[in-house]
Amino acid sequence: MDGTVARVEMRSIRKSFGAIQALRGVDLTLKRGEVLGLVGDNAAGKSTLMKVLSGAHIPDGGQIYIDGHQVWFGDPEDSRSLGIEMVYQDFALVDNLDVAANMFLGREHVRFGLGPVRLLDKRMMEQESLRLIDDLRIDIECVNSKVKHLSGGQRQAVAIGRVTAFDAKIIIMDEPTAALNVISVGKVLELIAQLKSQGCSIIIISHRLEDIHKVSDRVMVLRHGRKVCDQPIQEDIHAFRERVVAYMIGARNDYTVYLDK
Amino acid sequence: MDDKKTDSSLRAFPLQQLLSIFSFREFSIALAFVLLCFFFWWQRPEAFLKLANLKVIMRFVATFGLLAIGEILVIITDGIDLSVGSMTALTGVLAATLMVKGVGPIPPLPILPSILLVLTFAGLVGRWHGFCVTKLQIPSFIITLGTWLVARGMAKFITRGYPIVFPLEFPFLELGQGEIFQIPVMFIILVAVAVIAAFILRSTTLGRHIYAVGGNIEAARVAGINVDRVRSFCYISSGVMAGLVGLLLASRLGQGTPTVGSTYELWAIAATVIGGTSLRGGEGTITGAILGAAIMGVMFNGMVIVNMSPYVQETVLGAVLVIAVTYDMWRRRRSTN
Repeated sequence: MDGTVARVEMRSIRKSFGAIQALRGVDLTLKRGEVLGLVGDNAAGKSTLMKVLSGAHIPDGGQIYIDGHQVWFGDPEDSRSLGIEMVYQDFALVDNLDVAANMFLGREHVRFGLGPVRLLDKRMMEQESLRLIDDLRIDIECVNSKVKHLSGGQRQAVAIGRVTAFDAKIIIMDEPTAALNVISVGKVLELIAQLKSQGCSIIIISHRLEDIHKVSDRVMVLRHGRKVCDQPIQEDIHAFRERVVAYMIGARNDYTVYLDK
Repeated sequence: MDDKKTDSSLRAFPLQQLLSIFSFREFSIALAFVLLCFFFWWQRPEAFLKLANLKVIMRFVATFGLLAIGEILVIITDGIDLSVGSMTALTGVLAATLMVKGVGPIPPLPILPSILLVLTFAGLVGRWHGFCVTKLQIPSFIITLGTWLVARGMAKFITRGYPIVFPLEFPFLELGQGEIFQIPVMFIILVAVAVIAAFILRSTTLGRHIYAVGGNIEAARVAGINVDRVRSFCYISSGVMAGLVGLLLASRLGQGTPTVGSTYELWAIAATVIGGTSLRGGEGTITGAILGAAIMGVMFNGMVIVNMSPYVQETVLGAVLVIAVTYDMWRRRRSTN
């Protein structure tokens, strides 16, 4: 396929909830193997935009293109079938099930099915989970340990590893490092870099600008439902933080100027 | 201890693999059961192991084991079904009415269609509970408490308070009174149902989804599991189990009685709890539930055999329940730390 075609292209996406305009015509592009940091103050529209991309919200206007083809998502299943996966903020894991069961939750391998009776292929799922964990160098020793016995970083790794089990092309992560300690944050950022090197395109929503700075190629700032900044990350962390915060709080508002070059 | 190390050494030494049996979840419950049996056998060796007595215990275990199987499915999904005791009365009365009296101008039905009708009715009641819990968002405690009253009331209304007696030698009575190779038919039914239920919970996607719904319902929904259907299945199963026990009890007693099975729902819940099920959902096994029912059966029976005052018996059972749950909580807390 032509390398110049963007993996994701969202054009002038609009979405209102009653009188509140959450998105007022937002564009987003994401290239193959690119990591995009999506930042903005609370209620800036980050989550809404990602829910539109993951099919959880149906936009009022605008178009979505995946690999150059226009698509329409009626529900999360539609977007999932195109390889778009979302890693939820609260990890969305089931504590009382083991790692392998969580990895394949809702999409279990079945040895054979007879109507409603579908026999689990546990061995296959365990092996697949082990392979994924090795591939992503996740630090979990046993896929049979229950998720509730894992640390926060390991849980996040399982949640991320989960989406890669289904050949995700585009991974959306909502605050992947918010609830983690320093060491775990490092591990999760390594994991993101690992996925990027495998060709995944990743969007990270985060308030932790230093994490965005470390792993992202580009940053996009939303404010009041509009895109106010979309630039590659080149400067050091201090300049980066200053610039992004300025856009977030509205101290700088020169995006249109930037567009015209 | 290092987890990985034990894991690999387990594979290496069969002896260690053998020893790992002692760490399985239900081991302490099984041990308690065996110790109880030894205790009563030691107290009254001539009475406890008598075949007739063992049959009494088996019938008891079958009754509460079947109810506990239905109950545990609901409890794993973080619900509760309080209707099962009253439902055994209503379904027993319905079965007797259908087979003996007939409904209005309709003459009595043959046995098999009656059984199927009663089980279907019980399943529909479970479906109703499922509908209320999933679509109307009514707490399971409330909606099944409603059925607890309504079913008991309907059983009394249908019979006007009098039992409907099956004629002697009526073939239906074989179900609750019959034996195959000295084993009560009821107990064989329990074993069959338990095997199926354990298979579903352990080896099918449905079973895994039941645990997932109980563990984290939002995560299950996000993962694309049809949460409402899974929960409905559990309530339907519990209803059908109550219907089955209603049939068995009616057959065992030779009559459909509106007063049968009162407080049975609590015994069923007690059996699951003794068997290590968490009332907060997400945990529990069929083996545990059956063992819980077995412990209760042996206790009930043994206390009679050793001539314990009936005034003390319930107190002792209550104490056993509290000790069992306290021990289980302590053990679980220790294993997580």
